[in-house]
Amino acid sequence: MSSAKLYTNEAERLSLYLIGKPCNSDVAIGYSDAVTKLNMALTPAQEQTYKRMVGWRFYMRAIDGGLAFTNRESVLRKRIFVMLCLLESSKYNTEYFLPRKRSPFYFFGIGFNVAYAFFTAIIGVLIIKLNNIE
Amino acid sequence: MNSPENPIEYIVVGSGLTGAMAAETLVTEGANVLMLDVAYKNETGVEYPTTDFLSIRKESDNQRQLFLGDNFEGVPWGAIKTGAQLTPGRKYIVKELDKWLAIAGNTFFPMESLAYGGLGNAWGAGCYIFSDAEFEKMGISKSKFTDSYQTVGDRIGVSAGIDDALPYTVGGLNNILPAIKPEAGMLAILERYTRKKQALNKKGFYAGVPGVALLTKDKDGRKAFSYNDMDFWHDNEQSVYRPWMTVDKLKQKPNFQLAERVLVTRFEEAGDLVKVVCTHTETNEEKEFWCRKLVLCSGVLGTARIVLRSFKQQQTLPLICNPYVYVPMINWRRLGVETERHKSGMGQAVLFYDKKQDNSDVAMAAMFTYRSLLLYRLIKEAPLNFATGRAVMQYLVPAMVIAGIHHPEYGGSSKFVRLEKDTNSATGDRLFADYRLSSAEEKEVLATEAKFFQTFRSMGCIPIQKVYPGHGSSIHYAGILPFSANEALYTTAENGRLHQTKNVWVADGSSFKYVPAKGISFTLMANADRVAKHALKK
Repeated sequence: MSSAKLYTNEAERLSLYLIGKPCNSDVAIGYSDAVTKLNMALTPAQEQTYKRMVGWRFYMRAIDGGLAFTNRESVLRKRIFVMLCLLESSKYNTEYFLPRKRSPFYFFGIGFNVAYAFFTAIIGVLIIKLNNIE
Repeated sequence: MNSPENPIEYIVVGSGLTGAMAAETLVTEGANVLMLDVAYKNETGVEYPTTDFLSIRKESDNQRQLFLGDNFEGVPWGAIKTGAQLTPGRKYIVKELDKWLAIAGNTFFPMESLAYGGLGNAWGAGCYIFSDAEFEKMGISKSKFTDSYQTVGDRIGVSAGIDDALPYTVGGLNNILPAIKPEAGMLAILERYTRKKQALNKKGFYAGVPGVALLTKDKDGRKAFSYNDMDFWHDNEQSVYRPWMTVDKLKQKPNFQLAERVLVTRFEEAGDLVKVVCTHTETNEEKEFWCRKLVLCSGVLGTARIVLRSFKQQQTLPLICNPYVYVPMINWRRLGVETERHKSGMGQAVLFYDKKQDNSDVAMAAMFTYRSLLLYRLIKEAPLNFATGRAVMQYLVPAMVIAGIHHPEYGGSSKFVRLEKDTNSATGDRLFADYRLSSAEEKEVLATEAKFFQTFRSMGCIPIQKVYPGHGSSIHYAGILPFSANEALYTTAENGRLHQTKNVWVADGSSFKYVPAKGISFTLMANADRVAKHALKK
């Protein structure tokens, strides 16, 4: 697969993970551009982990959350973060980033999300430690 | 052609808040002034629309360029450092600092600038007049500043709330413009303060709308504030004062010149003249300029470098910088609401802690709401995976308040700078800075922060955490050339003349022996005007 196609595929998967819908082509091109300009090359071991993350959303959530505790500046996380920045700076995604009116019960939904995030992060930390993921 | 035979009357070093004010005073009095500065400008070529933040977010097709920058320079990564809030269009403020203003040490993380307008381009625009007691600790009488405060206030335009905060902000200043309108969330906090005012005042807390160098009415071609919430990104309307506005205006005058790409490295006095030695930042060539009087406005650390190189008697110089922490908080009554279209990114409320109730040693918290810096900066700091972090921050942001707590600060033996040789640096040297609080000072800082936390809670805000960006992050520096009645080396006379020189004047904050917690910038500008007036005297 060409690197452009590979990055487009990655960008789409990351977008699904971050906001629950695929990104448009501008964001995917931006992601490819950022990987080059921001020096986000991966080692072969990181490449393997990243492939697995992109292919399996639960694994992505676990490693992303785990790295938030063990190695916040990991390049694996940086790639996801750059994608988040690109998604936020697109007019097609404002509903996922600008504040919205919410019912008081939304608080409980957020609470559940945070609890689930910590649960997956614990699994992530275990995977990271067992596999020496950086 | 400038030469020893044909010197200019005045050279002003630096185009920041103090350089602009000193130059304006000199030029207005008819003096011939040459300003020397590197004067880097924003060269991104990005033009921000003049509409409000929400409209840009919902309609603009080039947000990637606007908010992230062509080379993703707006994408933050790593630990939070001084100047983390700089957006792509303002990154030029810190251009080439490592090359020209090398600094070493691992306890002090300052921000300097070689930009046209200096650090004033990133100034939060807070304006505060210090009290008699604060001036006494700074080593000078307040009466020396009264006229200059008014001169500067009239030049730049200051708005402020006429409320409990006024005695700590710009009380006593004439021609104050109406205060900015705080947004609904901030108004709710101020209303809670009003309801609990008696009890809070008894504990020494006073709140209100801050004094800000921001126009709420049109003035001299600058527009009244439009509440577009784009204050972090551009100065299109010029509502918030920036020093380049003054320098742009001065450039139209026949008795003012600006030499750009010039970094002043040292000076030498020769008879009644001053030789100013510089490096051209593009050609690396050394250049000389000659003047009758030299006015240093290069910022405290810049002035330290120039003076240490010039006197050639190496020693450590004292340094003072306000301890600073910022605190993200949740104003829980605002959870799940939409934010207003028209709001301000500047400080909208200010809370003072005057524990002695005499305006002598006051701590201050400036309070901001958060939106126009986009969510990703917050998400990055959350201890969560990014997907959950996004959902959480989207929910929290309308309720988010950021408080920046500044503490008053004295000098001490563990706070200093010195010049060291550094063959890797473009200037052949670097400034070494060390900054540590004593354990008693640390204890005092923590006790004050605990008091603020109690008060934030009673005003409806739940503090989440303290973020310490490190010493130097307040960007308020002073103390290297303290006022002295004696003609001692590395000290300054009360009128601003550098001791052991005839014609060198220090018009930035280098002479202050104490830094009140209230922002120092307005007082720095008043000092520049005051020193320039002294320098004008034969």
